[in-house]
Amino acid sequence: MLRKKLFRELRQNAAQFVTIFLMVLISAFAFSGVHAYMDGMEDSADRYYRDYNLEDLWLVGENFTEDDLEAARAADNVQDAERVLAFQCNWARPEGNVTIETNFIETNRISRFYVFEGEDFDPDRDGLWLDYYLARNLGVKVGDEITLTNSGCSFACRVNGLIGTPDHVYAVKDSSVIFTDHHDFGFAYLSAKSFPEELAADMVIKSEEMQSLLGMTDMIGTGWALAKLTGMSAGDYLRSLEALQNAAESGEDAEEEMIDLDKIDLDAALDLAGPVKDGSADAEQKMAFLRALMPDLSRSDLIVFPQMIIDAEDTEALTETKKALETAVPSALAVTDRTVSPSWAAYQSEVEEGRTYSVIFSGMFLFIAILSVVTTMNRFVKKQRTVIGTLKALGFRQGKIICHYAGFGFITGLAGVVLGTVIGGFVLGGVFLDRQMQMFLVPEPRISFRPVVFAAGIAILAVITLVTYLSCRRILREPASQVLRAEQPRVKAPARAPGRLSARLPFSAKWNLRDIRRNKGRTLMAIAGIAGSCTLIVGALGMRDSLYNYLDWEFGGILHFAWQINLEEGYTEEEYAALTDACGDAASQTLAVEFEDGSGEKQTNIAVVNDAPGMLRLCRHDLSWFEPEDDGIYLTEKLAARSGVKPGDTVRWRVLGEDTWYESPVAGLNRDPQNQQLSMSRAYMESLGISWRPDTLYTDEDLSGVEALPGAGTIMSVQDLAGQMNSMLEIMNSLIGILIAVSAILGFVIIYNMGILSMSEKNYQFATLKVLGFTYGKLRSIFLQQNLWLTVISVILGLPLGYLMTDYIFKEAIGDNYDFFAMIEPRTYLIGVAGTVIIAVFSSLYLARKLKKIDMVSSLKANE
Amino acid sequence: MENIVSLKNVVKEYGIGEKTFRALDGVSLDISKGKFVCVLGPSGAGKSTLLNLIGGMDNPTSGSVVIGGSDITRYNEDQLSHFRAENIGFIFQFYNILPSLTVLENVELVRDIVKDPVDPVRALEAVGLAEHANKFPAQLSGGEQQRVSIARAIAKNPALLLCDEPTGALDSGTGVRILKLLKEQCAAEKGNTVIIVTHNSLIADIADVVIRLKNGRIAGVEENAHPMDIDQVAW
Repeated sequence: MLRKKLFRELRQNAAQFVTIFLMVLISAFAFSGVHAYMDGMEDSADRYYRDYNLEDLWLVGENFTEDDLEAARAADNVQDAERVLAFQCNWARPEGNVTIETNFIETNRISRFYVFEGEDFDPDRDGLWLDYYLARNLGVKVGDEITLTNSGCSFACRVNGLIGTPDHVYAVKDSSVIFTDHHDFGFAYLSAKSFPEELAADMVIKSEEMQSLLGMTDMIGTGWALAKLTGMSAGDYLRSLEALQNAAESGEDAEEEMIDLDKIDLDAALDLAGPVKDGSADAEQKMAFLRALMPDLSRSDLIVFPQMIIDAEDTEALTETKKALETAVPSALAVTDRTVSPSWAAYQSEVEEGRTYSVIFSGMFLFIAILSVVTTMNRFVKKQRTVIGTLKALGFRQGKIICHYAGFGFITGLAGVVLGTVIGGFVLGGVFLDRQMQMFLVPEPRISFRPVVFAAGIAILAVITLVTYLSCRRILREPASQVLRAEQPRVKAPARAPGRLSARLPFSAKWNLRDIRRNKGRTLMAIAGIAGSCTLIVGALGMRDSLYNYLDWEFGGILHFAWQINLEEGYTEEEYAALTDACGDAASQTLAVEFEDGSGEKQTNIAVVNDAPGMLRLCRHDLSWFEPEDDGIYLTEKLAARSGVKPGDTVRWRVLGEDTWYESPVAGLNRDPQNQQLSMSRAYMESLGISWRPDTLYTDEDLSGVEALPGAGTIMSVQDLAGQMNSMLEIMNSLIGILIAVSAILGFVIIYNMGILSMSEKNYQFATLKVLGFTYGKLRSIFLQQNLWLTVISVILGLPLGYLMTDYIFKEAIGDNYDFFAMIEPRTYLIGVAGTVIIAVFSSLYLARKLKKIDMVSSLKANE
Repeated sequence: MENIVSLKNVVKEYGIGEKTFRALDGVSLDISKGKFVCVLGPSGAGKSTLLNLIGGMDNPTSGSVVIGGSDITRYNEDQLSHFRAENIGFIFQFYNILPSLTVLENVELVRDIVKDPVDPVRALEAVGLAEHANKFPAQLSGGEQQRVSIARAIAKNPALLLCDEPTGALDSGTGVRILKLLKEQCAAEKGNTVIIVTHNSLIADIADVVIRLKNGRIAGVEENAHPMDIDQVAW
């Protein structure tokens, strides 16, 4: 029978239980949705990494030979190894240039293709496999032909397939870019066997060794230096020449280096050496020159592999494997793991970031929702007081009564939890996952439901049930005779008589003050709930402010120029001179470096050599600007903290690929929101003997409409750079919308519940006041006064809490690669105050209408 | 005759704010089985408190309350619930029937707590409400609601029917009908004991025993050798 009563009363009190249901649904929706997409991101990527064999280690060198490859494969704990050559090419399209990171590989056993359309990788097949997202966005199909250009050498390729690879989940052009929209940058793979001959020739000729060789044509003429050509690869050949040159310089005996001169067409080589050296040789001449020197030259001899990727057997033993590889492949300049892979690290950082949001926001939702459920259930149980008394008087056991009442919360909560979890996971999780996957290329992304989501659902139910149990138990503890009467306000005589100040207060103030004092629990709950709403509003808008502040700081502050020209790798002196004449000579050079941190561990990073005063600015801790001095290197604050380095320390570092180590004092620290790296002035770098070859120019000249300049790769305005943040801003704006809507609903429900609770407790007092002749307006002002006081207190607490929440998210939780902080505009605080007050006033006015309906006779009679 | 209720030196104190109010002050009395007992007294005399103690709805501050040979002051909450379920039928001034259950369901409710209750339909027939079985309380008059309350009480077949101002909220005609119903419960074939707490001194005329309370003490216990018939009393 009690079951009938339960379901009937659920229907009769539909408004209350629908409120509870919605609160629980919203919190479960938010919790499950955010988790579904964060966990889904992680699980989808893990599946992808596992099934398509993401490499565990990367080797960087100058050129890994077949012997190096075999040595790596034979090293301890190495399952497989594969060589890679990657460089950027330009794909000129009528709509604009597209940069393609072009990879040449041999087997594709590691970081295997996920083929969306087209064919699987075939090492014997010409043509390329293209980034699926880029192809989709640009309308490229399998079978289309695209032409790539590098260093003036163009090669056309048929598109064999549209793919993703696990090491290109996140791919951006360079470190100045955070987000890619897959329109102007992508990646492509080709078989090493189809490496364009012309490009190979060009690369060999541009190599340091050949340039050195071309610088000593006399030696070619004498012939002795070329004697060792037969059967050697281009790289070894050139290196041997260098060795011979060194030997000659040092006066050592070079007899054993003698090689067979018969195979070399010295006349042809010498004829072509001139045009090759001065750059006037065309592709055919370049090849002829190389073939004259190396008659057995094949295309595979020409290709160099500066990277090797490793699949480890036991991923737990990567440190040992790194050491084994360093020993097995001495030509490896660096062995790195996934943590320094931009693709893996960026994705992981996104997951971590989302996890922070999920903990904070869904935690807040849960907290506020539970508060509103607590208040609603408490109110319901209190309303049922005499019914509970009757059941008790009839002889129902306490346990049975408690179970019956706990059932109200449990059933409502269960419906909310189940629906919220399912809808949140599939709808919110699905939408957010789709949005994330516009940035990251993970095939078959799926949302995940991890046990924590179910645990949270069970916890919500447990809390609701516990609240109902506690409310019931408090009533049941009273004797049955007492429970049958309406609850009497617990009146405690004040410890001392009211002071003079209190005596002077108007009646409404006195009455409200005493009501607050008598109902501390209810008051604290109301303050917590309203402050929570205010915190969410300020936090949500504060995140937006902080993000815009970051944009201003980075794009306009640190990057204090109008246009950026990324120079082509092989630009000539003449091209550079022409560019600087037109655009000024503010420039920078990026060095890939390895340095020893405070504990002696080697780290790879980037050093920006800054020769762009006033345009590429360094930022102090207090956000003021400075130029690098010529007395050492600078580290960003986060990098310094992470590396255990401080100003005045000496840092040992080298340019990756070179043997020379430098010891530089740390001249200072700077802040950078998105790049944690090293910096130095051009003069300081040159003082160390490193030659200056800038890769980027900065200018305030108006380059709008300029699509190409000789020697320039890409030309981007600072607005273009900032525009890459749009997708992040879109996600942020939708998140803010949801947060504000939820804050408003939760705030309204809490204030409404508290108001109802307080009104039902004071019903007879209001009835008495009404009997005495208090008008509706007067009663309403008494009632509103208390809610306004609580709102003011809550706002005072909520504003700093909103700041702290935003600051936590931006400063602590976003990850080591970013240096963000909360910067909340005064306008946001005003909106937070106004929003909270509007919610409070609106819900209070809505409630106050009930004062009109107080029936004086029954209210007073019920209290007898 | 066997005593069904026996109170010895019962004191009940309530704390009101920081003061203590003594509602019952050393009350001792015995009530025999099958009697129709009327407890009279002015407001604040301790009538309802006495009824609550007898019904196991409250515990005395001191003294003993023996019902059917068992001292219920030694009972814990569960034992008291069991005791109320098996032995006591309560009838309140404001009926206290569950608004969300129909008339029949309100009576059927006792099936959840009593092993062998009276058939709820028969209980409703006994109070003349069989035709209203499927109505909700809000569709009934005050007297009808009180009859539902009586049906619910007698469905438990309790040894003791405790009535707190059962006619207080009713007009005199309806009140008479209710009193008749209650009186019938004491008939020899049923053998129940009915204790009515009331302000209405006229009820004393129809009672077998009249207990007068004043300031928490027994002011007098009168055996009514010839109780009047309800119809003879000028209400």
